[in-house]
Amino acid sequence: MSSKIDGIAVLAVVLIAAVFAGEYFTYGHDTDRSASVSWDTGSVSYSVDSSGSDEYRAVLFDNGGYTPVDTLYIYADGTYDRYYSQACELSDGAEPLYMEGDYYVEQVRESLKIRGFDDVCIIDGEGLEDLLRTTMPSPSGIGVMVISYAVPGSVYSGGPDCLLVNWINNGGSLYWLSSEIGRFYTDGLGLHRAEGDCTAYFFGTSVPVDCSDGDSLSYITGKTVNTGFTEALCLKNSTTEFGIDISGLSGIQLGFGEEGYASISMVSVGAGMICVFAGGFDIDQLDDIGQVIASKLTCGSTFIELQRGKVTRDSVGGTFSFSASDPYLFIYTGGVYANFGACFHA
Amino acid sequence: MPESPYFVKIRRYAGSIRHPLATVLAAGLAIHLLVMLLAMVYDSDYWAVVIRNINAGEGLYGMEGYYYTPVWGYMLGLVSAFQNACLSLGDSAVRVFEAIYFEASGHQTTATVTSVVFNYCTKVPLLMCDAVLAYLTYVLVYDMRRDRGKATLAFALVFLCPVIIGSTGIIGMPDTMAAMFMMFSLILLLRNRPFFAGMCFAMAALTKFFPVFLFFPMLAYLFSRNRGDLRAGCMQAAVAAAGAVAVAVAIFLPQILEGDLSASFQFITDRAGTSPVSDIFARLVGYTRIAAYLLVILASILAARFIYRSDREGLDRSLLKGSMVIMALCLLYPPATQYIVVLVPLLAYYIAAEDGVCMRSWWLLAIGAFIVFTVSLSTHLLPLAVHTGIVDLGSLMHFFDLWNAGPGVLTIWNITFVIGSVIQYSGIAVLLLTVYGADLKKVLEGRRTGIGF
Repeated sequence: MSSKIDGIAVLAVVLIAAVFAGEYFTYGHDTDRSASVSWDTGSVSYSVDSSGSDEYRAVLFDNGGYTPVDTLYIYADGTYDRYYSQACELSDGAEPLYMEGDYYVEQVRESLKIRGFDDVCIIDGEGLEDLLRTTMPSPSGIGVMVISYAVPGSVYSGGPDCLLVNWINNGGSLYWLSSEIGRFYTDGLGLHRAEGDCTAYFFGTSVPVDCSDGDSLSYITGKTVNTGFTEALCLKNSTTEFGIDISGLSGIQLGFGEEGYASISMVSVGAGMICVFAGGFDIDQLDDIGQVIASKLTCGSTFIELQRGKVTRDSVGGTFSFSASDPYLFIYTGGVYANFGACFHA
Repeated sequence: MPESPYFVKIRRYAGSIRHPLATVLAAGLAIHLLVMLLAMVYDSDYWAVVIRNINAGEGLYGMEGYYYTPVWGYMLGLVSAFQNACLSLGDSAVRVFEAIYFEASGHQTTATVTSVVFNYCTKVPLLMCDAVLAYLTYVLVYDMRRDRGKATLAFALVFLCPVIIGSTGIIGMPDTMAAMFMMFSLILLLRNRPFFAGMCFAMAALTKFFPVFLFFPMLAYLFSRNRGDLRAGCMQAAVAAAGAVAVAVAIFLPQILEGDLSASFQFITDRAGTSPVSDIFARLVGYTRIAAYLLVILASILAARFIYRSDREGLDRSLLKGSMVIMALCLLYPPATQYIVVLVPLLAYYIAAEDGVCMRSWWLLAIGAFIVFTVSLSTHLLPLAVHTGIVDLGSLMHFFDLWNAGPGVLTIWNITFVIGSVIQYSGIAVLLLTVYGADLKKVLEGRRTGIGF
């Protein structure tokens, strides 16, 4: 049955070779992308380069004098799995959303890295306490992200006068994800539920949290808030579960929202900021986190203009004219699947 | 207007092609290309995420989005390279705010809608696999029967099968790649080329899991063919293993070097219901799945035993029949439609070369798949509505609402899905009953039987 050269074997080898070629392009070949800007009085010119085929967006906005985060510390909770069930039992409304240990922390880091935000450190409870103490005098430009339903009791123990809240009021930025802000803390004795209105401890006033005991799907909405930023940054996460209503507070909301709640809320607190990302731990939220932090948005950001176009194995550019006092330009490629980003400040 | 002489020549040449395969191939290609206008946006969104991750220099597992063994991911890497080198696509997808409420339905769908061109880019390699898969079935039947009519029938039964067309054209799932390499490995084994057979077996098993259950039958075939010469059998098995290991090492090399090999097998734990937040139902489903596959392993060992004992004349047919039965048994745990793809070429072979009665199973699988694929037509049409305007988005939303209206779970969507799935499932059951009906009857009548594969 077999001939000297078997056409079927040859075809098989060719197709296997195609897979290996794909392997090379997956791991051994990089697409080069870069961006540069040139600021002038009242205008900025930019240039985007790509050795591949991309859609770029240049988003111009004004931060109104607020200092954005340029160094981010992510708190990795080593007790996450240990107390997760207990936290669910102790929750009044919606249960904290689950994520897989250190994996999501790494994913946040990668999501920021591809957008040009490299200054990210992962810290444990002791590291968090140490950070807050050492940077307490001037925490401006430093962000702390809590990817857990609880923080260590050494920095917050269910009251307004604590290391974490004082640090924020001094100018630090807190990013909170996927659970009711401030509801739990942990110490050597285990998990504790903070009694009373814990949002007031952080914001200085009571802030409604969207965590009624409903199905996670019931929080999904297609209504945009702050449509300029939402469309310009291609924000995707469309659920408001654990989002906050910032009516009466100084700040901005982004993404999707309903009845005052939004998927992303950034609130001015003292000299600092609290940003709450609603919804579960998923790709949409990861991309939104990357977009918001890497673009250096703050609670005082105001959208100015978006320019977009194709950049195909070439270099393209454009110019904005503006009258903003504190302009930032975030350039990224890939649209809803952002694969490169760079932020520039005048 | 006078026709160009080149056009006239091409038309004459095309008109001179009389090979029956050409008609089936042309009809099949036309149907495939038309169906590829549709897309299961939930999966195409994931493929776009994977391509983004590759584009961003994160490989397959550096960022969230890819949950399978690497083979299909590498094909997406090839697609990405092609897009970067030759196309100017612009945005791969847009988030359609009006359709975001689709995501709240609980169905596997998304309002992030990939473009029609992007969908074609990811599906064309799969279409090529479909064509090769059908051709391999043709070759197998011809090798076994020396009858071009039967071989052409087998080709048509694969290339025109709604299971294949929908899996590639709508879902864009790589099951057809797994089936193709599985068929390569079987044909090359029959042709006494164990090294290449081993290579293709590894590719098949590393694309989609199911062909791995053919390990024992194929091993038994090798030893049976060399019965009386254990050394030759061992040598051939070693050569096949060398081919498989060489391919596996090459495929996993990036993950081995980066130390994230476990990420390649995440699909196993994902389906085992072992997450700390898995509820009792999810755990039950996961454990039942594991138990079902353990039973398939047991069945494959029994099949191997039967194949080993086959006489020399019937050995090839035993291997093919056993392979078909094992693939069918894999699907006894209720399958998603695309899983059935691995069964289709073996069933087509069996119908064309062995027993035409099994055609009724093909029909049941085809009708079931057609119904299942039309269940979520309102979301499959999203790329056409969003990126071409051929279909009105408002009409699609009305279509979606209508399909999901009803008391509780009694919606058209759910009812149609259940009907389609039951028909599909009965296709698998009928196949097994057709193959083993007579033996089963003897067992029920209390007579001894030698049920064999």
